[in-house]
Amino acid sequence: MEVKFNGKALFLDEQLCVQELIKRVAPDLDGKVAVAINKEVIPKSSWQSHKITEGDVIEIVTIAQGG
Amino acid sequence: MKNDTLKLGNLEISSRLILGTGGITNLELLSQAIKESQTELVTVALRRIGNSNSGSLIKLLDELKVNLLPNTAGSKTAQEAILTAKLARDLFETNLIKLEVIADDTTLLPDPIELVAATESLANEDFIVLCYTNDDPVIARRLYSAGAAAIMPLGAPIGSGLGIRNPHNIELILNEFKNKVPIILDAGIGSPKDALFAMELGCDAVLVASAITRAQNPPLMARAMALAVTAGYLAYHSGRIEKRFLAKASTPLKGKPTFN
Repeated sequence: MEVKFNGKALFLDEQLCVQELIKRVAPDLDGKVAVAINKEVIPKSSWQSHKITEGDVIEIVTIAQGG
Repeated sequence: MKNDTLKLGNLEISSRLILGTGGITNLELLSQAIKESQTELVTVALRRIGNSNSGSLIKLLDELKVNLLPNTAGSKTAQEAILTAKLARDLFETNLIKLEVIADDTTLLPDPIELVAATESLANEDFIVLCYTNDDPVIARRLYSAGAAAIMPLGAPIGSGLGIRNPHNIELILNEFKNKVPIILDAGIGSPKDALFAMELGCDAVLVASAITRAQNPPLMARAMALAVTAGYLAYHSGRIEKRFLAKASTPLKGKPTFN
């Protein structure tokens, strides 16, 4: 299935939950990320239960420097 | 001074210098600047993964044990800012948010219409909303009514270093809201004299980013800025003398010998 991840197309060969997607795309950040799917925040408490579906628009962000 | 700490929601801090972490690429220098500033609260942003030195930054801020104030920098609509704030709450586990909704990329001036709308929405969802705003007392009034927990008027555009361009407007905001919500001078500070001036006017704190992080020696400038903020705060509470048109001798004439 194809989703849009941080502005780019991403093909997933199996259905993943948000937790699994984070492990795949941000293995070095130890879960220090936040996730929005289709403009809705998916809270940490739902990362395991929320499944990614075809066409989802996913944004995964983390801490950055800023004023 | 009755209350020597600054309260922002449940957070209570002693330092009245809030440090922005943007504008510096060397994290070791950032670490030194944070230490020298003695700040207890630093701003951070949210960006897509893979775009910055996030892993090192997380480690650094964890080690320094400073409180984090996430911002919504770059947002141009209330909707965008609200979603960013919600992401920040989930990531940082804090209700504090420095709300920025800018009108364009050239001036980076706040869009007051979007700002007020975002403030109202976030305040209704129990965010502690610190509003980066224009130096407009009427917009400040709107933000206060919308539930702002702090008003952060700009001194001048972000990163300009132009100082406080309209101190009278800052005084008008202070006059109306000083004892209602913290007033934090944000943006435009170029050197310690600007920070001192803001504090002498009666601001509760200042937020400094570029003036420290883009200085030739950020740690040294951080220390200078911390001293200026403290000096201004103490001066405000000391009660300065009235300005006089003519001189007034500080040495009494009584007892002066005469030699003629």
